[in-house]
Amino acid sequence: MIKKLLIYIGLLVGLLFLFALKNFMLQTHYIQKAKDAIQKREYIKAIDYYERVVLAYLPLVGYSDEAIGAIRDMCPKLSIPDEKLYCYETLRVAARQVESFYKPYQKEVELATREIIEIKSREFGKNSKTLKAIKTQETHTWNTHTLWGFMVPLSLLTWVGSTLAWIWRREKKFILVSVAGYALWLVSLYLA
Amino acid sequence: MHNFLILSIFTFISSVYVAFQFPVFSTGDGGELAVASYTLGIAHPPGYPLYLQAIKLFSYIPIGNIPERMILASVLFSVLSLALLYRIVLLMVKDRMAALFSVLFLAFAYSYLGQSVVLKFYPLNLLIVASVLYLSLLIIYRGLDSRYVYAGAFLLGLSFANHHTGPFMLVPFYILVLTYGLKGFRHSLLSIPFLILGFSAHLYLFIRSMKENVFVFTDKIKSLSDFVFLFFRRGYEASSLGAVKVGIAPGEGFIYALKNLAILLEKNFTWAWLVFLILGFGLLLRWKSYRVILLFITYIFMYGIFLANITLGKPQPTFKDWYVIGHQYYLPLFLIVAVFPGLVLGTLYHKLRELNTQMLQYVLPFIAIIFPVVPLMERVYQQNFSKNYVPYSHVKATLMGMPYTGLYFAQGDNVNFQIWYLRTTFGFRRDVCSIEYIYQKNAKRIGIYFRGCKPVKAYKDIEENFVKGNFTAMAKEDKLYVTFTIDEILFLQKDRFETMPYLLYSKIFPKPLQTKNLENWKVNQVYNQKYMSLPEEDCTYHNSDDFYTLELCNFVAYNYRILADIYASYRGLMSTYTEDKSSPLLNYSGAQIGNLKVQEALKKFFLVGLLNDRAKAFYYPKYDD
Repeated sequence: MIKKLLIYIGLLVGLLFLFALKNFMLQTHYIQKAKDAIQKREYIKAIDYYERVVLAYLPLVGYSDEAIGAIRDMCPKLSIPDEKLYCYETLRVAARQVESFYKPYQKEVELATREIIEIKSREFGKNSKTLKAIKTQETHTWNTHTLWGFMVPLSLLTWVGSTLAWIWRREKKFILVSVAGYALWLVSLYLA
Repeated sequence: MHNFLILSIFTFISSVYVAFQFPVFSTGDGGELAVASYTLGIAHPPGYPLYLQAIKLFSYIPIGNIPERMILASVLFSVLSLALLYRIVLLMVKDRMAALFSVLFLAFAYSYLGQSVVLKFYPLNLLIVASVLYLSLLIIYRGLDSRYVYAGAFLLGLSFANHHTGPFMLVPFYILVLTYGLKGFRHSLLSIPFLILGFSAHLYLFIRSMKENVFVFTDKIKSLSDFVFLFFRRGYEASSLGAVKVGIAPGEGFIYALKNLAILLEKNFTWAWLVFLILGFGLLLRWKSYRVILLFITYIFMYGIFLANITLGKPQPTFKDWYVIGHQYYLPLFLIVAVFPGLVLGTLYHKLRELNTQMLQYVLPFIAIIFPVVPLMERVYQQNFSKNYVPYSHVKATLMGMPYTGLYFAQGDNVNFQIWYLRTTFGFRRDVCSIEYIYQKNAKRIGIYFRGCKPVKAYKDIEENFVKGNFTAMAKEDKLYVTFTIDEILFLQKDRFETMPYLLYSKIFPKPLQTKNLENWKVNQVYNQKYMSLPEEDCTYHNSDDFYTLELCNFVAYNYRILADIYASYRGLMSTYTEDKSSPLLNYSGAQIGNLKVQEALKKFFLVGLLNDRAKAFYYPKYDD
């Protein structure tokens, strides 16, 4: 049983390794393209390529940090408002999409949100009502609670797995795990 | 040696799948499913609660981006289904090489590979179906055991919470169990609580509907009737129950279904599938495996003929039918078809061993492994999405082409889902409001949704003309846009508005079209090309024949044409736009039609959110954030 479990864990780790390898290759590909674009003064293109490096996020590998830093540094240098807005919007959206339990670029998200609010307020913030609306729009978030959001699929997996284990082995301990998993699943669905 | 070979082959298949998967979200439903799972919300009917929860777990992997992680779930489910196929063939012919042959036969089939690398629920559906098929074969080969029946029932209960074709497996599974007489009947009855327990995964829909901050495709589930509406997909023109009636209806639909199925299988496996199927059934008859034959025939009926009668029972399916239906729904059929090559090869291999022809014993396995891998060469240019950023760059260019607080009427899943993902969920250009407009002419239904405009209240506070319904003023300020595909905006009157193609969509102008409008249009068209360079590049190098990708790239190609026309006009090759009405450029028209009463009713309905009887609007506008 333990041997089988280890095999499955090994396979999952193998799959994650392949996934990481693919992302690493994407990063090396697009970081070079971004640098080439900067040399050609194609800044919008460079921002997009750097975004792709961030999207292929790999912890402990420097490319993501380098790319997010490059976008962050490029934004204030852009003088045309729509390009500046594009830069900050890209910075924020890229940083948000690579979040997990750990939010590696929270500072960049906050910085970009501040700048986006400022640009938009300047462009169409006619009165206090619109200024408030812009702020509401830009700070509105949709995600679930980090921990409870994680507990939902985990508890689902627990009760499904233990129900199958009980059917297969007929051991009482699995019923207990299944009931506990089911209860936790319901609770986490509500709290997530 | 054998274990090493098996591990190598599965590693190779996994590597190909991971390499070919979309780098962010996939086209079609990809954006919507990512949003629905991310917020633990409710996707399009029937809601897909099991799938949304399963991929949510993957979204926590600290590598790559959120939708890319979710696609990894498809890869895993597909590889696990292949592992089950391996077990199935091994159980039947007890030959590892034969089992591997079946695995490779399926792994690189066009649709199997294609569905393994996108954000979709079909691989999970297949995994459940394959598990129940394996349990059914265990019943046949090891004897009827309550464990197999209960586990099968539980999995089938769960399958209801994933995709509607999953529960089709109820028919072959319970027919098989009932062939065991009273014992089978008793087990069937006792398995019902497990079926219900699995089905209870739908509680997700009720509990998540209590929450405020979740993405909901249609309506929240607050009562049993809401649930029935969602579960049976009654919001669609063809509901699930209607589809079942079509599936069993006798008539020429069956003939077309069979013909189209044969074509579909040929495209995936070449005609080798038919040879293996005939030989395989021949072997089963020779072995007198009547229960296996019964199981396979009912299975093929449900996932082949019945399903095809519902979905492909027509003389000439369109390209979209093949790609949207044929490419997605038939994975369970492909799985069973892939069992037969293993049966045939395994038997042949045993015979050769008996004859002691050593050379063939070693050559045959080699050929058996190479043969199915050959199609992979073709897949590199068909279903390889490794650098397919088309949907991502498309939505970015779409949103960036609009001015501050622009209003965009978008029609079609392929356009809207991406906006929900990038704009609504992750906050890219939230100042733009995207409204989904559905007009089903035959069903006389109109739907207006604000999922691409949330938080709607904030938008209303910024854009005063929107609140007043003053679309003319918005059009004058260059703030009104519409997708290319939409041809009827009933509340915008034809005599008041005109459309002109613009970047990846169209711009709405007030009539009469002024020279100043045209000049502005040209300037903006040229100025915003800087946001088009990535969609253009992505459309050139995406390396796939994905229907949805091509659909998006058509807009890019169209943009080129418009640009060429504009440059041509500056060089004096065309006189002026207003004079040359025969120009293909100006011939494009939004063609806003509809009678005035409906327009007025809809205008009122749209603005105050009231349902007007005359409009017969089916859906209700949402201001629920």
